Amino acid sequence: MTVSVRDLIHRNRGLLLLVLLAVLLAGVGASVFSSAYVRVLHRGFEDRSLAYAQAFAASAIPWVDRGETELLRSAALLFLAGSARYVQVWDGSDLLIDERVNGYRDLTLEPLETPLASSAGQSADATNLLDVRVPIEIQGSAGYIRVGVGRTSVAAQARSAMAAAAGSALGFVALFAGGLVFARSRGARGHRDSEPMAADTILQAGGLAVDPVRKTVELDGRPVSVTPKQYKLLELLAGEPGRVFSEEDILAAAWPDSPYADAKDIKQYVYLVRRRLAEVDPEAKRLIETVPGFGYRMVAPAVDQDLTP
Amino acid sequence: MNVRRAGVVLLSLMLACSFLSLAQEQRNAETGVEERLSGFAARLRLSISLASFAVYAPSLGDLHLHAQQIVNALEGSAGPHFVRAEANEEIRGLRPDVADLIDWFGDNVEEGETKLRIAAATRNIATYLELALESALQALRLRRLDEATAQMLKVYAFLAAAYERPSETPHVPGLWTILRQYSLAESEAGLNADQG
Repeated sequence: MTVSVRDLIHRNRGLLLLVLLAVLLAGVGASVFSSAYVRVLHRGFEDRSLAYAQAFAASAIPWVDRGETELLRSAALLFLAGSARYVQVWDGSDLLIDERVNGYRDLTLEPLETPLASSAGQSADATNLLDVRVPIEIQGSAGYIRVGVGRTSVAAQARSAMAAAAGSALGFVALFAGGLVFARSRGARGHRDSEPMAADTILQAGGLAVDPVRKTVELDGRPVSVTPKQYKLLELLAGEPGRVFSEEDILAAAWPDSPYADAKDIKQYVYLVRRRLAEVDPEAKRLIETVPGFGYRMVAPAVDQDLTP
Repeated sequence: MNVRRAGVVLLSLMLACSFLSLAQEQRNAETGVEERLSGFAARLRLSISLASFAVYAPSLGDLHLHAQQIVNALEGSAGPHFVRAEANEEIRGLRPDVADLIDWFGDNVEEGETKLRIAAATRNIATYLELALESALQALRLRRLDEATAQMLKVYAFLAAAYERPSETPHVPGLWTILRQYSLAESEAGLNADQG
């Protein structure tokens, strides 16, 4: 009953190739999708961070104008409770406020040339930090607001997206492989079951009669006692007398759920079936013929031909 | 006769003193309410800024943070949805403040057109703040950034309506109407010019 891995692979090589192809396709698909999604995610995060800093700037300008520095500082502290790591407000060369969260207090933020337009880019001084600069005008003098926005949240989202893509790819492969195995077993069963049922007739091969409805075997009208697996073997062979069934065909029909069944099992069951038939009629064991190198077949009944003109 | 004249003078002086005292009390009370109104306006402006931060928040976490800051500002530390950032954080809420202002205006403003205008404005402010609170709480329940952003846009609109920025389009009375009544609108004008 033992079967080597090599035999298993050889027997299922078509299936394995398809599954391998599915793995490859799913892997490439998941990789392309997740990298594109992560790019979009980071781009969206940068756009929103820019708008976030601009919203702070829009609030800060009137506070600076009115000299409400404490209110500006309060707003900056509330702002820093989220993803923002530092907020600087520059009025020309005067640093009006410089609020930072712990861990960023020693970060060197050199004064900049007043930017002409808002911009967001990777901080040169700290990893995983977006440095956003927004130009402002306070009572006619040019200044700018500088906000550092941590990428922690978007990095977590990106990791989740990649994990979801990998999970979906695995799910796809599992479904695909499951579908293939199911289709294959259905195909084998269909080959075995559907034809006799559709014909709704008793299978005849010489004096042998196999009844797919009642699951009985008779030889010249006399019952032959067979086990379910022996019956399946007879049903398959009697279904198409004369056709040579390969070992793979027989295994798929009689042992659809057993990956460990092999040629030895077939040989043993053919022997047992021949013995059962021989118990009724010693000559009947010849009904199942071994075709060396190909498999087994049920001997086709002789056709009476009237050769007389 | 002299005694009688002296009595009249004394009575006149007492009446004058009591009038002066009443006027001083009124002035003190008005000074108090002006401070409260200025503080109220500053906190409302800060809340509007927080709403604008939330609308552009780069992540759902940031949006929820600013939404909670607005809830805190609206309810104050006695509110049922207040979340303390620090152990002993105590702040006055805008909604309880409006309720106090409604009472104060009811007791201290003379009957007339001004009282009616102020009463309408304070009622509107209270309603807008309630709507802003509902929307902020709704935003806190949402788990999608786009949906929560839409809720925070509502919060921003309600708070801005409570502030009542004057514009060329017809507007419903809000805080600005009251500030103008107490000559506080001028100090807000610079801000308004910038925001407008």
